[in-house]
Amino acid sequence: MRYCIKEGTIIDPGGGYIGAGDVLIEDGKIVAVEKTLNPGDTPIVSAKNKLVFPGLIDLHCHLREPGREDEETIATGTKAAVKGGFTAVTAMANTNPVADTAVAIEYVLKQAEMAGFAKVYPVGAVTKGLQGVELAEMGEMAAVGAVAFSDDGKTITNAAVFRTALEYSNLFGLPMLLHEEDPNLAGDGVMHEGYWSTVLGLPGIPSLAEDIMTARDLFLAEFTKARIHFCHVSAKGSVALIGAVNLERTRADSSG
Amino acid sequence: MDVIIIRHSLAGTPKLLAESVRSHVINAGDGAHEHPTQGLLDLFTIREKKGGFNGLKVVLVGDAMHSRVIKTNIWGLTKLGAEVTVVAPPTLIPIGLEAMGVKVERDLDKALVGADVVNIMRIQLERQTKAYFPTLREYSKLFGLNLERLAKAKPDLLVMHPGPANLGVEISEEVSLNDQSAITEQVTNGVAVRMALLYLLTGGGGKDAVLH
Repeated sequence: MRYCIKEGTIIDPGGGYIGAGDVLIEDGKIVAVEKTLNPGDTPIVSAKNKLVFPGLIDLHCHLREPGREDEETIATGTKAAVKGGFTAVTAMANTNPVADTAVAIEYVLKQAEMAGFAKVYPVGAVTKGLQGVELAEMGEMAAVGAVAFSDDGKTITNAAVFRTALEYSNLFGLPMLLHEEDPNLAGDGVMHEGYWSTVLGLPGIPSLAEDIMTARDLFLAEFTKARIHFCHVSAKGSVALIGAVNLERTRADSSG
Repeated sequence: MDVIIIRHSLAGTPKLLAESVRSHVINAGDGAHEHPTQGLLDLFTIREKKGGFNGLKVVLVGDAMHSRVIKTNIWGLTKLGAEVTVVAPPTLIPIGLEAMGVKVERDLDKALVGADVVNIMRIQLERQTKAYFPTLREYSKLFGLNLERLAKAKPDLLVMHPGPANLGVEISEEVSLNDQSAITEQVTNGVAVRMALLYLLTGGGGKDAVLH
């Protein structure tokens, strides 16, 4: 199948180009990009007043299948993704049952393939059942296509367990996606702890809940040399800490 | 239905209700948010006893973290021009309280110097088990109003408490029964204020008097 996307504004971060242009696509592949293409009788998709850009990747999705198909399925989630310009999404492991085995990862991949919308990159659990106690079979999951590990939705509060998990993850070189929230500090909070939680009388979650876990995991990552990624960073303190550590590493890299 | 009176443990419930029904809704206390009729009766009592609010020094003592009465008092008193100081252990002072226009003080004796009114909040007994303070005994020693403390304050200091009081904890029995105490008048005024509110909301006093 051949079609031409015409009169859009192309944004191509890879090629460093932003501006007007037409794109010719054949069998799902871009075959020509020019300021103006004359496609003849090829079907035209008008992109007038629209942006044309490469497929986006959403690093943090919950497709909820298996277990909560009432909220979302792999098919509905990936359909929504492509509707919004995302051609690939990750699928977090906090399903029911938890994606903590190779079979579960294979299931997600299979369902995504059958749905046929966005590409799905499954994330495996770090610990069995997201319980934060025993390690899940990271190797088995990596072998069938898990791209990262995460207990997202929960923080692994036991630092010893998490240290071990980071060290073990080095076997596969896959990153850990971290949900940073001290459950004791967060308590039953429903919003940011500050002036507005006080005025509204709603239990707040202090920024400290995130800052403290972020600090702990920066130390653990430094110590274990494992790859980490902080999900949904929301506190000023965490941003400053991550920024400071990144800067230090960049300096060390360029001097070494 | 003309009026719905609602008390709910979740902050914001009366607002949600008011937006969904045509009836008038009176918030009779929602979670740790507000308690407007208590606020009105406290203001009424203060005006009755002190004549006005401008420059009046009012001290609010107690759990500002969980108390809807404290917050309602703060809104009303600061709007009417009173100088409000809140006294509580730091663990029970929520973040941003000062931005509501009050001074925060840790020392009750210091706060009471020159004060015209002290309104003491009930301390919920379960706060102790959640480690906001070590014991009720220590709370009482640091933040309870007793005769000894009262003697150091202005002789016409008005003592208030929204009730029911934990006698011997946030307020001693002697103080609660003292001539300076307006606690029973608060209860009486509460009936009058709430009657007035129902009267006005249901159209009493003519069209122009209806509150919106």
